[in-house]
Amino acid sequence: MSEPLAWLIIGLPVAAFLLNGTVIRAWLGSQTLVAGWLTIAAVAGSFVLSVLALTDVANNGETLYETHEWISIVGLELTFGIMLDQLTAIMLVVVSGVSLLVQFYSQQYMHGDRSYTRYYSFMALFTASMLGLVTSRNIIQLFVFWELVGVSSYLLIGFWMERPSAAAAAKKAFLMTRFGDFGFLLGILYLFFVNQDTPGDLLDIPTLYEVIGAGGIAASVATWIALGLFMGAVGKSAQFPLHTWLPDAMEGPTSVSALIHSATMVTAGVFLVARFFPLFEASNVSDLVALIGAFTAVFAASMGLVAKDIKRVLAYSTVSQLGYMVMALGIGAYAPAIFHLFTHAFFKAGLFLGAGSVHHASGTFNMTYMGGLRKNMKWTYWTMVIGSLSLAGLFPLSGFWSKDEILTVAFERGSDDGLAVGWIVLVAGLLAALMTAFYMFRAIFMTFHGEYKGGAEAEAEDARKNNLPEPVGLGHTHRQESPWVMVAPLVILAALAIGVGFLVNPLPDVGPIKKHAFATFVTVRNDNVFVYEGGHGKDEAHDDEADTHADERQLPDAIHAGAEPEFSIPIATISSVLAAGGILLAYAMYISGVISPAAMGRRFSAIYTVLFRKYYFDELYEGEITIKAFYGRVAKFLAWFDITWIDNVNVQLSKLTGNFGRGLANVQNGQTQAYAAVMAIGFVIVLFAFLVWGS
Amino acid sequence: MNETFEASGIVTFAFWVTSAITIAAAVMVVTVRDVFKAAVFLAGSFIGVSAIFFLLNAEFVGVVQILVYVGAVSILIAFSVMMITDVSRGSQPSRARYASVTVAALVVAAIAITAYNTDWTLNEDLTDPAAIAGLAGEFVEEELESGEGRITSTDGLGITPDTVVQTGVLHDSTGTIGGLLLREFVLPFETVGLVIVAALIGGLALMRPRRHEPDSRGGG
Amino acid sequence: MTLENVLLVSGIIFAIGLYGVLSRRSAIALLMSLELLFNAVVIAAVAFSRFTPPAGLADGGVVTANEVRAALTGHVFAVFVIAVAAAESALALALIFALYRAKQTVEITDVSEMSK
Repeated sequence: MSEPLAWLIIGLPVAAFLLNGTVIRAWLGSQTLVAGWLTIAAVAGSFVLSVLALTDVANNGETLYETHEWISIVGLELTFGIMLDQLTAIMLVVVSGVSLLVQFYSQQYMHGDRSYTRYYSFMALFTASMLGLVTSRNIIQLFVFWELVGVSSYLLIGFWMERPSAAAAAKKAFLMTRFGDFGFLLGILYLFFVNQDTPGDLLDIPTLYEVIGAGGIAASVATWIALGLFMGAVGKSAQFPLHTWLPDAMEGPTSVSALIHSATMVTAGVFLVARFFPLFEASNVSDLVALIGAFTAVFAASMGLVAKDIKRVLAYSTVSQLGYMVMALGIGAYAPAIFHLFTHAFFKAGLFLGAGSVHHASGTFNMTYMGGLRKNMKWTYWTMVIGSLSLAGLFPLSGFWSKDEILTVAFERGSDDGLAVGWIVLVAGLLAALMTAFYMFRAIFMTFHGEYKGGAEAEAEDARKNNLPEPVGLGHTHRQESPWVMVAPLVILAALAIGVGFLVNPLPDVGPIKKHAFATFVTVRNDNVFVYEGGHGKDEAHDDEADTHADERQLPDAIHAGAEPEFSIPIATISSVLAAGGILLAYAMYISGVISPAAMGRRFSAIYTVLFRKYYFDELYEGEITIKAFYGRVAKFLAWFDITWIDNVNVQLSKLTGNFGRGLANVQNGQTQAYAAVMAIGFVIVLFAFLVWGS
Repeated sequence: MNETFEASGIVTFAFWVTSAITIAAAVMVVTVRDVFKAAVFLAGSFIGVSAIFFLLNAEFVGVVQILVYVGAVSILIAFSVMMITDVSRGSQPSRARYASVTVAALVVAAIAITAYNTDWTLNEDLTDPAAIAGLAGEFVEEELESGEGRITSTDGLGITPDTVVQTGVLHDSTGTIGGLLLREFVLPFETVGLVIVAALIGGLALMRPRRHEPDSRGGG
Repeated sequence: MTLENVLLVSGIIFAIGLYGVLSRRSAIALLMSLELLFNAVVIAAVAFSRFTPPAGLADGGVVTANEVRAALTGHVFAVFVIAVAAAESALALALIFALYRAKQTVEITDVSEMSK
């Protein structure tokens, strides 16, 4: 694949963004269907090129396109370029593929929105940023795209900016991820300083791999850098404790959620850890990564148990599944984590799009006003059931295989290597699997089964009765299947949710597909990725050194570890039984009525309240930290400092300059001779200065 | 003037006398209350300066000085003084005298220090004829025979046979200066002509009686 | 008579002119002082021309045409300065007359339009 083609993967959506944002919006208006077609065409082009890139990588191994000079001043040499390795290729296909389906679906979902053009413009920008993120070769380049992803997600979450809640959610998402990005930036800065006294350009990711492989970075140094990068990942992937933005981000259009909260933006954090996996392996933060991931997996799932909004259920499940991936990376299960990312992208996008379809019919996202939709929308129902089964991890859907690999590796870590963290991850994974199955089927049963409860009209009616403000975002109720434009992506994603798990990474050889094909593909690299390219002649001597270390490369081993876990019948059985148990429990509570949800809620009212209030994290962050600690103390102190010092100094300074100016104004008295005198004095000063210091 | 005459010290003596007279006249110009008297002293100072030019073997410049300054500028100023009645009652006393004296004294000191502390002999590189010719314009390299101190071969070089070289000093160089003005420096020469015309026209424009001038003098 | 001495005389005349420019109230007297400044500069130009001749001239040997011309450049400058000074004085006098007609004064201190 030639380099211009590789750049075109990013370039096409960028072109769509620019055209939509400028020419098309100005000439064809803010509701033109052309905007949608243009973005779809651009993303389709990217998708085709991504598939080409994937086949290219599969056939010929990864390609490192040459670096280009970006900024070159003394002490700062920055390059940029495309790194097309296995991870990138998979991410490219996932991102552009899901994006394509979502764009297609959005034609109907966003139909008639008064900012249709703006929507497609931002979607193109977002897709371009994400594609740029995964292809970045330089960490600074990566950071730029990372921030572009952040800003375009801000624009998309706050797409309906006339709703205060959407504007607040966008702001929250932006600020919360900013906390993480701050750490990311610190990590980059530290890496930058380390780079000053290390041969080779560490900002260039392949070179970084090379240097780490040769043991060029001390564990303590790697720890700090990895910690910073992990902070960025925590923010972007909504891990505990920066998880609160993601459920709120559901204020954006559902198609946006399907794109950025399933396959793209939130997985950027996982991608970041995967991209710098060698660095994490060389550091001491792996256990922290695993623990944060494990905690988030259970913690987020528990909040999903009681959420009433179907999109929030999906949001919590996303956080939980991201926790799965992160903990997998933490225990060194690189390939399983990427595998789970891959499968999760499809079924979660499908579920979100299904939620959008449900909203299309019922006009609301509140599950308590749904029910009985199964009869009206068969396609949506079945695709969502498939997605939920896959998410719950039921044999033989794709979610089962990826989740099982993570659990198996965790088990191996615990039993074979005797690591406590392995057991913790295993328990957390099983617990999360149980809860996931329960809340997903709670959602399915509440939405599609039982009696219809009135949809948007009923919700508005109830709000009026209880003197509550009318809920925002309610649509019209027309209980029928969504148009084919929306159903087709659902079907495609459901099909992927069924088959992709086993077919891509099968246990035995299946026809032309080799055993563990996906894991092999992700982890086995040909050597040229680690060929040291000299790093702009920074240190010639290092070239030889790299050659001598050629056979000491440990990276493939690090990545390869846990790539092909042996299928473990007990683990698979336990997780399947737990998932089935969760589904049965949901059935018992919401269909057969053996256990009354209301009674459960009363009996465990304390727990229920805590869960429903999301562990009071919003209250903690907003009430305690933001208002009391920050406004009350820090901001107060800063205000005092600002008024008494900064302002005062400014006032005095301005007085001083004012007086000085008035004094100077007297100098300009219109007397020519006074001017001449000043000139003469200046002349004398220059003359004597020249006599004293000159020559 | 011949060598012995110059070496005899008479030139030096004459220089100091002339300089003293010139400086004295200049001092009178800037101190005397009556502006008309100042104009007269100015004319005297101009004559002194032209004498210095003659002593520096710059006959042409000296004559120009007399013609332009003594003959024209002084007379012009004298007439102006007489036409402006206000002046005849005498210039107001000078102001900021001590400050001005200080500044002037500092300038003299600086010039004197510079003059006496600098090695004024030309750098060998700068005396390279090619370099100098490059400064002056087109490069014409032809050696002149200076037999008996008189330049003999001058065909087409803009140097008149009158110009005499004597112990490193050029005499009777008027013709050569004319050649320089009309050859190498013809462009500045014409430009100066333009400047003078512009000054003339500007002066006329300023002095032209204004018709229909409204009674809003000083109103802006 | 050396270059240094001539430069000293030139500097003294310059300083006298500067003093006049800075202290005289009458615009005409100020103009006279300006003429002194010009004269001082011309003296310096001619002095340099006289005392720093090119190499061939200095040792009395073979002289080239260019050396003669280079030696006389100072005189040419002096002529130019004199011409410009003459133009300047003509214009300055016209200005003084205009000032006198407008304000009935030639006192430079009475004019402070530049501060407005």
